[in-house]
Amino acid sequence: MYLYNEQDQKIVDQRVEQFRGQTRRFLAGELDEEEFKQLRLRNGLYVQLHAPMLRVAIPYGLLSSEQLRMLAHIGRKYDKDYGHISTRQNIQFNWPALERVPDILAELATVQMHAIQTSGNCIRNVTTDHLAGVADDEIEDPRQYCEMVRQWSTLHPEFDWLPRKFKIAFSGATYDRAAVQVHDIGIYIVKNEQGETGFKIIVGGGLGRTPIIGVTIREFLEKKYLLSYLEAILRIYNLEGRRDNIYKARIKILVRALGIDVFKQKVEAEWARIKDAALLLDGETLTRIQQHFAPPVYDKNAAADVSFTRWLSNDKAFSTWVTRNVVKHKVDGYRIVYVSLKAPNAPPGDISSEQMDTVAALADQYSMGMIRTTHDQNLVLADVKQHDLYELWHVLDKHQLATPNIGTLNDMICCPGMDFCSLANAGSLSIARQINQCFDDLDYLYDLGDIKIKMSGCVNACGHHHVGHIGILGVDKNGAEFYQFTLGGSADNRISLGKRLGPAIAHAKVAQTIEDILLVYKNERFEGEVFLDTVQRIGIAPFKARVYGQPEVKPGSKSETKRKVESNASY
Amino acid sequence: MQVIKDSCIVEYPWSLLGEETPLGKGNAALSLARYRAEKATLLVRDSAAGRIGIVINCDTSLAEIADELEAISLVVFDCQLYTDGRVFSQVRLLRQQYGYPEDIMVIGDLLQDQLRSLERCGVNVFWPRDSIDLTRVLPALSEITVRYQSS
Repeated sequence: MYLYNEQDQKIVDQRVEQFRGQTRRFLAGELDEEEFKQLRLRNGLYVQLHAPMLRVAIPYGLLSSEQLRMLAHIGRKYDKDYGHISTRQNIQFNWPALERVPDILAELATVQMHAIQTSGNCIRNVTTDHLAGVADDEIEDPRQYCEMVRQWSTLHPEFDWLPRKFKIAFSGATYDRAAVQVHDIGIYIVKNEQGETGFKIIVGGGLGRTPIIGVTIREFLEKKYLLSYLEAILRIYNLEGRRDNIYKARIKILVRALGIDVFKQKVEAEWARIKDAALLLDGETLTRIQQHFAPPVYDKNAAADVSFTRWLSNDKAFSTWVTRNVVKHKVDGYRIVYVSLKAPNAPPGDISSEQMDTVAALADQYSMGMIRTTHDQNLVLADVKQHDLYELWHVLDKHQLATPNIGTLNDMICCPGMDFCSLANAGSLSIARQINQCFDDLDYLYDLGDIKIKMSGCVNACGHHHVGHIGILGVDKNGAEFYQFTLGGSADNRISLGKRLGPAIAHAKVAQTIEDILLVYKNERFEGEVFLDTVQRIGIAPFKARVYGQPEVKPGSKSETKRKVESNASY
Repeated sequence: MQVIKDSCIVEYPWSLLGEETPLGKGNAALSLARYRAEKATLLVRDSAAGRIGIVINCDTSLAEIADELEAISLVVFDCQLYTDGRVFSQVRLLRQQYGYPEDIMVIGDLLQDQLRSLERCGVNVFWPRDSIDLTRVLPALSEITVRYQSS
């Protein structure tokens, strides 16, 4: 991972002191609410319903065990003993006291962490594939480029006051696990006809209230031009993006208004002017950063282990967990482990301080001391020897971190919703709870296969509902919480925005609606066909008919016996 | 007028003229409209009488003033709203693309917390707000002394 040098450290240290001064000026009445808001957002600090919320950056989702221990400590000392992994691979604390935030940031700085640019109208934390460096479908490890972009975008003097927030994502694999095409700038690492590695640049994607899939602005960009090309895009956006209407201020609206050809022409004219100057990446810079992401030293004998297969056949619970939560590693004898933060009795993405300490210790013992966060709100231990999986599983299981539900219906993406967020129109956590209570039979979930439910409490779409196979959006109908369903969305290479199912559904009917949808899928699917494929093949009509046309369920059907009464238990 | 110039508080020998104020002796910055209207007279003005600058805002396109840059000794950006970040790019382009070598000044609605970035983009004279105490603003320029970018 990238390790700070003296200069990196100085930047975060000085930023902490700057923010301490800003907080003092605010508390002394020298900065008004709005001015302080602009400054605190750029340091990750929101003011939410109950308390401030601090969003700490996890650059491209990569953490050391030492950093995770610090996050556990922050949770314990300044918050209510937990944190929440966000859909952009960051971590959020929901209960810090405003006047103590400078102290939190100072503690974070001791382990090379910060909250710089995790909010506000600036370039946000760069995200990437959580399997970077270990996936077997990878062209090149994207983290080195993420780090270059992190450095370029951190405290960039020109782009701290953009028309609106700006999100960049990278994928270096053939399968897109980073939702690249719904970012302001999405970057795929690709090979050209000559076999050289470079970048395909996509611009103007985004979710929010106007979901748009990005368009390709450049099919192939040589590596050395990465930063100059980004700078040219940002400059055109900063100068020409709309500032009169917050809902029309994202780059996607500018790209759409100008058309990609005109937008590209402007970007490339600017790029031509700057491309061979200060931002040109020379071989030395590339190598210097690449060194930080060199593969760890793997045990050559790891594949010789025979205990793993023995445990697989002797322990059903273990083998179930391996099937769902463990995936192939590019190195033989190693596996990638998903640490599920989707235990049925907890809000999706939440992790207690004690669990963080546990994962940090496991990372040290079994996975090179590193942890990744995923945009699906789970964690990954990326370099585990197959020999160690059984022991690892026992510890994870003991700490409610081994629910074997990765990729299933219960592995929901969910924003904090009305329980915490002042923007939300409806709760999303209570819906997650309802779904978990209704679908608690793992065998049934496994039979349904891979299904991504993504849920947002308002149109800002923090839960990425547009790209959920089943998307759920909370809306307010005369003070009551209703939920708008979309079907057939996808965030991977075959990107698509979900289609609206019909009128919004009442709060109490959400789980039942999902059951109805799944019943149609089960009846219609071909052998081995996953939910998304069925939806895309048969279209939305049969689902619509089931949900709105024939509300009653046949007595004795599988679906009927699975239904449970919603309880009022709360998190 | 007292300004921050090149990170020091100095008496700045310029005045920002209103639309009606007559042009007297000394360095004066005029609005772009007034500059254009009086350009013929201004160009034949004795250089000993003082130099001329223009005041523009974020809506002014640089291409529009490109031909004037040769003759003017100060460009003033009058910022209407501190969240309008276009000025950062405009200043940078004025330095980089147009190679403007003279003073670039920003006035108007700005936060002290933005001055360092503006300076890095190419501003060298600040007059943030009428009432502001410059001695309190000055340290904001040296809060963050390191950077990733080359400028």
